[in-house]
Amino acid sequence: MKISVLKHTTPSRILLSVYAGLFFLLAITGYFVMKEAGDTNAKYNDISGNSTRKLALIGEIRTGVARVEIAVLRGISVNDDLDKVNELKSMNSQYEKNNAKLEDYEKLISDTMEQVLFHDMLLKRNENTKARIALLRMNAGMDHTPVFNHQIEFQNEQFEKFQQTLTQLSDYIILQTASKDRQAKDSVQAAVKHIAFLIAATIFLLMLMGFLIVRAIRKLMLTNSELTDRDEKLQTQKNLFEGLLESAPDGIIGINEKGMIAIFNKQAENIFGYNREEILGELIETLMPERFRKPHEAHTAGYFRSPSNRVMGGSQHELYGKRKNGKEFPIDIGLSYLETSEGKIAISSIRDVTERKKAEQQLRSSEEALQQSNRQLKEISSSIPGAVYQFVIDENKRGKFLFVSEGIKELSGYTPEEIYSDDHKMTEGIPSEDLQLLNQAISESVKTLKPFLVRYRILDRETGNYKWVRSNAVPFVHPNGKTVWNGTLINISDAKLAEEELHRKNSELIKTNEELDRFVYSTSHDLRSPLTSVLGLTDFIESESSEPETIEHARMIKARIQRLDRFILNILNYSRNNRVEVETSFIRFKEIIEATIYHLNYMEGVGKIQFETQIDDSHSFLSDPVRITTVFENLIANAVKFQNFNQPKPVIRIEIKTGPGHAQITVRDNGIGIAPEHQQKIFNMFYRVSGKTPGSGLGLYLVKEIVDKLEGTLDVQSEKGSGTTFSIILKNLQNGK
Amino acid sequence: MKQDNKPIYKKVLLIDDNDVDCYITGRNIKKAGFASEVIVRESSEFALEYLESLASTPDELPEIIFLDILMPEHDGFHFLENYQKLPLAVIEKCVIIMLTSSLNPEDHDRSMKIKLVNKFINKPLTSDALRHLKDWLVEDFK
Repeated sequence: MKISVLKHTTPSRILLSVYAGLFFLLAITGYFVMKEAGDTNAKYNDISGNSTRKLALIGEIRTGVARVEIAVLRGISVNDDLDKVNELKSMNSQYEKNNAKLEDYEKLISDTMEQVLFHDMLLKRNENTKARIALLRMNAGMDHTPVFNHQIEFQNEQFEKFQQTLTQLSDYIILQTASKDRQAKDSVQAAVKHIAFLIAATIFLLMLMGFLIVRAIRKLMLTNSELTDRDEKLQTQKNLFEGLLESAPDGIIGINEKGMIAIFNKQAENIFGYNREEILGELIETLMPERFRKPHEAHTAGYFRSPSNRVMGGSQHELYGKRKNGKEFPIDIGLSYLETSEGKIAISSIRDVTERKKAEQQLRSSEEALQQSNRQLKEISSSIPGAVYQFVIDENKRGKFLFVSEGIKELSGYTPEEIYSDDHKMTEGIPSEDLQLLNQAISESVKTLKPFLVRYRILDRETGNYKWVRSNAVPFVHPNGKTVWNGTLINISDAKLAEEELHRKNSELIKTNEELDRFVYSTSHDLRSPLTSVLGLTDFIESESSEPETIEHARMIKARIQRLDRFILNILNYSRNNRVEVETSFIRFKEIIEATIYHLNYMEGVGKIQFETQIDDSHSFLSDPVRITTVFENLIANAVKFQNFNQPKPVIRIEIKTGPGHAQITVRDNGIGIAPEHQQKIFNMFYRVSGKTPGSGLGLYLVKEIVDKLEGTLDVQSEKGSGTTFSIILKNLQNGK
Repeated sequence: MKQDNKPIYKKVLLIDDNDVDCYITGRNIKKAGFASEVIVRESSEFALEYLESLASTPDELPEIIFLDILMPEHDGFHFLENYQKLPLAVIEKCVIIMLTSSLNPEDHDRSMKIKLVNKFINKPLTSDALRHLKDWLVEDFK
């Protein structure tokens, strides 16, 4: 329990150790600092004691020495010998005392400098002593003489020097003592500082320790409550594990190292058809088809040697399980392992993939069908002289090919793949004016959603010539909102060539027609010109001759010439009707009919015929006046030709009524009429009722042709012997046509 | 009938390269009493020269000019173009009538677009045609 707590609080433990170590170090340091301070202090006290004694000794020595001198001076100055001896005795005992004191001092000398000063002092004392002895000797022998006086001075001088050395020594000692004193003070101060720091550090550490201890205690308390939770949790987890195991969608089977089944969940029961009770403890191989059993045993051993979490079999191996009823089925197996107190357990999670395999099979066959239809599309599209395509305009208004068949290579020089990767390739070889047309058509199609059809050119990169193509596409709006076209792109270069050839031929034909027209006019002119001359001359003969036969001959010539002239005119008119466009203007029927009758007055018998005209052209009527003139010329000439002059009143009646849509024209005669068997043939070219009848057989044919050209109808009603009626309905060619 | 015998015009000019036609036309004009004098010029140039020479003596100018279209070298339209440049006295005096055997409607239309041309007649100019013309001229110009 505690272990587990420490386990959880390893960083605190490390901190604790660090603090303990630090505290220990501080304690040691403190001890040494204190000790050093104590030593320094003791040393100072020592030195200080010594110095006091030494100074006292020096003082005593000084006093002793003074006493010696005093005794000498007294001994010298007293005259009484006893006194003298007493004085000298006192002097000697004082001297001896002084010697003892010097010896005491010498023991107390503590350094070399003091030693030097001490010896210097002893030297000066000897000098002084010698001077005194000398003085005392003189004193014994002589009186106060100048030499004696001088010796006294000398003795005094020596004494003072001696005194000086004593002063030096005491000064030195005082100085030394003061220095030692300072050192001891400093040392004590430092020690005090150290101790203050140590105390502060200790307080801080103690606080930290306290904090840590509080924490640790809190933790310990928490962990205790956790421990009770944990037991509950363990139980919950166990329930959860069992719940998971049972509710897992996969069959879960655990085997021990002997290959025996140790775990077998509910789903495993469902998959394999075994009850848990009957399968637990059985070998795992029981659940396998015969052929897998042997190799699996080896695999099991191998797996327990190096267990890992992985998928069994791998992608290329198909695994099968065997149900209790002996049926095999495909499975997927995932492997993992557990270490338990009872040893390693290999866990297999097993999924029955029968349904999935079926679905895969279905997918495969539908893919095959798709491939099949793709192949068909490819085959079909390759059979057209061009390409089929699917084209989309995306949200950036950029065109993109979703599909284009192989035929595009023949047209553009690029493969479908090259076009998919770069759409510009598709428009690369199109001349700018054609591209503009194409873009217009597409944007129009986007707006109207109507199919577009554009013919444009593509540069053939091999030959440098243009190919003509026709792009024809039907748009629809895809559920995603984009406009998509399905279309074809067909090479129409051949058709275009043919069209150009046709244009060329047509303009050639127009030119030829114009030439032919001129030819017909000039030929007819050249033919008619001499005829008119002949007619004029024949007129002279007819009017001026007095010979009845000559006049008759001239008349015959005239008639034949006029017939020839009419024929030439009709050929001319026929030729015109076929080639010349209809030119419309307002038709003045009255003028046309009067002029026609006037022109026909050369015909035999015209003078005997009564012309009756009834014209109602209150609705203005538009048509081709030249052609209408030709119609009337021929119809009236025909009516004159087939008139019956044996009757009292030959009549030709012309009725015209115009309307907004049509004009009704009838030309009626009371002539010889047409037999029913001829009626339908009279409009045939060069048809003549009999060899005796005059005319070329061209007139009525020409009338029929012109009426057709003017979008009208022509009808004939006739009864042999009582007359003929031609009825024409002509369209009012208003509105430009 | 009296009127027929007295020519209504003093002088007409025929411009036509075809001498037979000129003969027939001239004879018909005289026979019909249309004019007392018929002058023939066989080409556009000669006709223009003739007319220009009479600019100073307008009384001598023809009152009627019959103009053919199809003539060698210069056709009737050439004459019409240059006729416009003649002195005003000439243009004011003469009436131009196209007399041709051309049936080409283009010739007709082109002629009638020119203001100087008064009428378009197809050959032959028969006595009947002359009578019609006389009536038309009397109506329009008297």
